[in-house]
Amino acid sequence: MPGSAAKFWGSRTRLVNVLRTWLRSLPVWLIVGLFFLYPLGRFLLLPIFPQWAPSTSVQLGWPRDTWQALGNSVGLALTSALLAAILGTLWAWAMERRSSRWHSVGELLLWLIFLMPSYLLTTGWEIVFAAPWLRDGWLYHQFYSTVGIVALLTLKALPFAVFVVRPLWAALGHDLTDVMRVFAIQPRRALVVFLRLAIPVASAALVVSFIESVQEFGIPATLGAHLHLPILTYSIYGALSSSPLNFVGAARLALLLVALALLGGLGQILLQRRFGAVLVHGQTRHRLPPPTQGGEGWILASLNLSLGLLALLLPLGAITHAALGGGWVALRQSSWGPIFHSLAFALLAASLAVLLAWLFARNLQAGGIGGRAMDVFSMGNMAIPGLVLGAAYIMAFNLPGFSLYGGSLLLILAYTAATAPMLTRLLQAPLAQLDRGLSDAARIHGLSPWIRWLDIEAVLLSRPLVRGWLLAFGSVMFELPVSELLYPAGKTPLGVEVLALNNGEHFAAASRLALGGLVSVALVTVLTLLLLRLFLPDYRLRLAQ
Amino acid sequence: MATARTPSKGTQAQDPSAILEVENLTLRLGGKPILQDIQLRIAAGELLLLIGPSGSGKSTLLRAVAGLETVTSGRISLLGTQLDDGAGNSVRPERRRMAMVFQDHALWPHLRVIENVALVIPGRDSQKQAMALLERMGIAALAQRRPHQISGGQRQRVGLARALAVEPALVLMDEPLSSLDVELREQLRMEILRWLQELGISALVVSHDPDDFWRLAHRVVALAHGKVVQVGSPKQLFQEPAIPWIARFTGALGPLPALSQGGYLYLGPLKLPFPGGDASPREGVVYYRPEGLRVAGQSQGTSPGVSARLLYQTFERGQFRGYWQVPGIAEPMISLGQEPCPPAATLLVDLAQIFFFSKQHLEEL
Repeated sequence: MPGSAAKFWGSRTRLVNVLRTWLRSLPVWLIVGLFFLYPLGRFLLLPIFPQWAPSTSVQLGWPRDTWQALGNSVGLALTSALLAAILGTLWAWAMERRSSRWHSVGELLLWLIFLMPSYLLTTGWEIVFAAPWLRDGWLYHQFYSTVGIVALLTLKALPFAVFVVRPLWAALGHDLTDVMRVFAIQPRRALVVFLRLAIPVASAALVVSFIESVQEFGIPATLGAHLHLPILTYSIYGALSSSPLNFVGAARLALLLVALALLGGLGQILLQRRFGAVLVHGQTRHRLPPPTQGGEGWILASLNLSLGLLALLLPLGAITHAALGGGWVALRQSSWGPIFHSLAFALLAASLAVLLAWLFARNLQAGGIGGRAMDVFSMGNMAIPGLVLGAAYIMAFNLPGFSLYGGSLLLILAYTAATAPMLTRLLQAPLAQLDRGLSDAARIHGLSPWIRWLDIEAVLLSRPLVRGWLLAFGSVMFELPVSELLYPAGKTPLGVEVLALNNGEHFAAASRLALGGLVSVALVTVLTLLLLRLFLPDYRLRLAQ
Repeated sequence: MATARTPSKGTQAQDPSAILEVENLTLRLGGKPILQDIQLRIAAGELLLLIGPSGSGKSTLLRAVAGLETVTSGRISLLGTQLDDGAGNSVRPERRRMAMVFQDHALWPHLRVIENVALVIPGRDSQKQAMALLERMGIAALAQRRPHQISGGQRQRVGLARALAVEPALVLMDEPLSSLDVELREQLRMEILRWLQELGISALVVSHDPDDFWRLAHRVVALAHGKVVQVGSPKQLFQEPAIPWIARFTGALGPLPALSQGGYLYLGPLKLPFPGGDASPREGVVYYRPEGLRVAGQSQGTSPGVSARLLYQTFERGQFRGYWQVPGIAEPMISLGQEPCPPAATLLVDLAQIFFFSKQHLEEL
């Protein structure tokens, strides 16, 4: 073949190969386009294209109390983020720099607070303060004020702060602080050096806690609603649930909310640039930290005990007490329908979300332009609160002649879309840790793609996949914002029913449902983990050399 | 086991007698040339060792042969069948019917030893065949264990059994012994040689271990900066290293600054005959083997010499290693001999064990 002809055919074949790669990832990007970009774009661009709003939406302007809601949201989120960041940074420091048996208790506590729906936390405390001996006392008035909201937001943001800060402390290693002791640096100068290390670390916690708090819906929908305090997330819901509907106004508020989250993200990027050298020091040599000294042990113990009491024991105890207070008769007469609805929704949505996240994570792992785009998409999508996604779905799939609105399918799709980006990030690490050699070995030794996928990848990833599924299942079971906006008539999900009962001050009925939901999640979790243990072979991904 | 399987598709290459033939292979990653104009040929039953400094492209070449990297241009053929024409027509790795032994074993951790081997054997008899192979390799007792329940050496034997189970024409090995301790390395090295010889399988092995160079390789290909810099037997590379890295890899010491001019090599006060040298002066560096530097009285023949003062000496593996201060040479020179070194002596240089690399030659690399 002459040289020029070979060149022509060569470049043609390469073009075909590139096209083949693109075609392979096309289904993924079609899903992204249809279930994320299209609905979000259509909703968030409403202020520019108000004609896209459904004909039922007659208002176009800013909703009432917008600026007050913005001010309240920022103020509350900043205060609680500041508190969570300070507490989280110090707690994470203690977890990395001191060995104590309280750390395992602390880790469990943080995970339970992370998983606990915020509206259950509020409901629990509302039941506590409904006790006659607490009613109208000083504490009661503090709880039913912005102080109460800040306290609850801080509790919910704390796990995020610790989870973000702990790896940063670990990466900083002991050496940087130990070296000050070795060189006998004066205490005041040592404190300055310590603060210069701690401030960027705490700032990361501040940003994450702020984003988490500003997007919170459960607390504004319960305590905020009782106080009639305008807060952005609840105002969006208000614009979409009260007559007359105001889609454009809701979109404006949603844009403000997304802008706040993006501002937080920008802040994080700037911090990384400013303090990047500190945050990526990373020359760590892991060794067992020394035991707690002086009063540190007592501080840690009281921190764990008071957090356990405030965030779990008291509210959950109150819920359990209220739920079981009516005795067996009340339990039998309760309507358990919402639990079964949510169970069905959660089983389907969690399974779909895990499959989707696996697909996304594989795309992300593949690298190149597609991988980078998926990285940006999955990160960016985490800045979109469920409430905004739900609002977007109302509009996007409620078209003349094609309407999914009011049906279970749309709710399940929205649950899936709301949880898939988080699961994608969760699966990213296990996929990356999966030794490339395992897949290369399978290819070189002639295993077909199907066997490679089923016998190798699926089994090796089964633990993170199941963990992701359980996380998605638990989230969907108690999901509130998407459920509020999209639930089909006659199939009220658990969260919506609990909130309605709570807002009507039917605490006993709300508690029975909440407790039933918690028990269902616990049962499904235990059953799933048992099945995993029974059917999954014992293996270790990392072999000691 | 005796007959090697052939790749499932591809067009006929030019030299059907070679097991593996790589012609003018170039590979770019992200626009950066990783491999350039690589020529390689492996004969039946031959073990070809790929050596080179870190980042020279050894593992990439191995992955390209396996089909895990896309070749930019050039050709790869196995048993006369073209696997990659460098123009995008490439046989997929799973269809090349090669096998590979990985540095970190790459055993599937959730499968038992026997399943790791049987999975790559097609047909109903796979378990039986896998067991026969494990028995042959002396690890049948481990068949029901999982990779984390066996030692590193046993894992690598399983990796080797899995590779041989494919009945490949060519086995690729990416630093197969580097994760093992020295004693186990030596034992497994001998076993690899024996099994490959018994089954008549060729191998392309990447290694950075000098012991593999001496004890494993039939032939060696040295890579540097993505190019082949030398091909030959271990003896040839030892006697005439093409680049300083090969000289060091085969035990030479240096570099010491030197000058070549008019058929002589000037190294500090030493003036050594250098027949291949140019008439015009050329700056460069010298590498020498310590066994080629003898203390006067210990050596045979009439080698050129220089007065030196002993700095210190050590006793290593039955020989005395002397560190000498030679006037005009900044770094101490090292001798190796059977007798203890005196405080001062004349050092004699064996011209066959000294290598000069001109600056120009180094820059061309």
